[in-house]
This record gives sequence, C-alpha cells and structure tokens, in this order.
Amino acid sequence: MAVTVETLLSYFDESRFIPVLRSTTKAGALREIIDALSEDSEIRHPDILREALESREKLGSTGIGKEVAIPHGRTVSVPRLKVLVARSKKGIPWGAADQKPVKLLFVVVAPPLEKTNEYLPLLGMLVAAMQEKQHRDRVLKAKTFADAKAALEEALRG
Amino acid sequence: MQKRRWRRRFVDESVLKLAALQDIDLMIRDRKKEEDLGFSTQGLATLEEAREKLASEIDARMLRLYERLSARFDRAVVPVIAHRCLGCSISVPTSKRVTGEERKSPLITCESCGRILFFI
Repeated sequence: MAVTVETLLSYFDESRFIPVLRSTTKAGALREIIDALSEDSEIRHPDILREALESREKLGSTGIGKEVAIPHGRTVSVPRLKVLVARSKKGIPWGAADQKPVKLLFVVVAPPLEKTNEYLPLLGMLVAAMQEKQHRDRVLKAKTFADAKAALEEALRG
Repeated sequence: MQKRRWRRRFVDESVLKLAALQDIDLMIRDRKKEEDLGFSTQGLATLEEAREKLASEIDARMLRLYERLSARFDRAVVPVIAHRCLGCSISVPTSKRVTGEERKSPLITCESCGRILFFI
C-alpha cells in the first residue's frame, strides 16, 4: 500500500522535534532522542526502545550520507508508528559511508505488527526526499517547526 | 515542555529481554528489505553477537518457549492494547491484566494463540 505525502506529514509533530541537539556524539544524540520520545505517554519502556535503536546501529550505520541519518527500528515498545526530527549545528559523527557528520536526523520507530504497513515505504520516502541539497538545507535552516514541516513537504513532493 | 507522568506498568525483566531479543531478530530478518532502500547492514556479525549475548541472559526455559513460538508465528511477543492480544485479537481476561507487582509468574501467554504477552 502506497504511503501518501499527507500520511507521512501527519507523523511530524512539534512534540517530536528537536531543533538543536546538544550532544555531539552518536551515543549522546541517541540518548537525547530517546528522552524526547519518552515524553510520549504511549512509550512506556524507553529502555527497550533504546536497545532497538542501538541494535540497529550495530547492524549498520543509519547514516545515508549527505549529512542525513534515519535511525529506525521496529519494536514492541511502541504501539504505533512515530517519527522524530532532530538537527545538529556542528554535526555528529555517525559512521555514514561518506564519512560526513550528520546534521539532520529522522528517527522512525514502529511496532512489529503494523496493519497499515507504512514503515518501510515511509523510510524509502525519507531517503528519496533527502537526496537534494536544497531540500536538506531548507529543513536545516528552518527557524520554526512549521517552517521545517513546510520544507519537508516540499521535499517529499519533489 | 512539562514532563508527562504516567503509571509505569510492571513488566517482568525477562519479558523485557524477550521483547528486545525479538526486536533484534526482526532486524536480522528484515535486513534485505533495508538494503534495497539503501541502508547499510554490514554489521550483521556484530548484531548476531549482541543477540547471542542477550539470549544468554534469558532463562533457558523462557528462551525455548520464545524460539518455539518464533518458529510458529512471525511475532512471538505481542503487545496487549485495549485489553486485546495483538497477535490474535482475542480479549485478554481480567485476571491476566496485571497492573502492579502482584504478578507471580514472569511470563504471561495468550490463552488463545499462546504468544507471550507484553503489557504496554
């Protein structure tokens, strides 16, 4: 089932937006991300979530190059698909193939059982949307969440 | 942002580890699909090592149950949401809906499908 741009955008919420990550290390950034996701009352086992994201990084860096990373995982600790956006001013070494520090992160977590089957298509859409430098720059330079979301919409629509 | 407070459900340590183990098993199983999207999965050996380490920390009997269920179903550990087993959609009896530390048995399984229940 195809995921529409509107569906993908519906997962972006200001409560899951970190305008500037404080940490400059991968481990520290993941901790900040887990802390932010744990604010969601639906996520009651952040340790399991942390294990899932850290395990995924063991399988291979989720850095896709061009200063973008998409940490992701399926985990029973999340009742529904959630997306978090985070940015780093200085960049964080993420082990991406092009060795560039990551400045823009989209964290995607989903339950193992997912009737809507949006998880993988959503990952694919984000990978495609972030290939263009102008789109990445607009999301990175957005001053507000609304601007960032608008920039992302433009990126998704191509 | 004001921190939300919620009453954390008590979930046995062994169930948490089985849930984490299942998450890793899913990652290993889905790695080809992720490769197709352009993600790296070169660290498979490292992840498998982590998987074995976690498995070694789980009670052998519980691990055997998990592996038997995994051979039978896509998901051996399933959440209970809105009082329903998300593996088979059967309503979970009230007696199994524990909310405190009064639980005696570490693992609770669905009476219908037998999957291990994870109370979110």
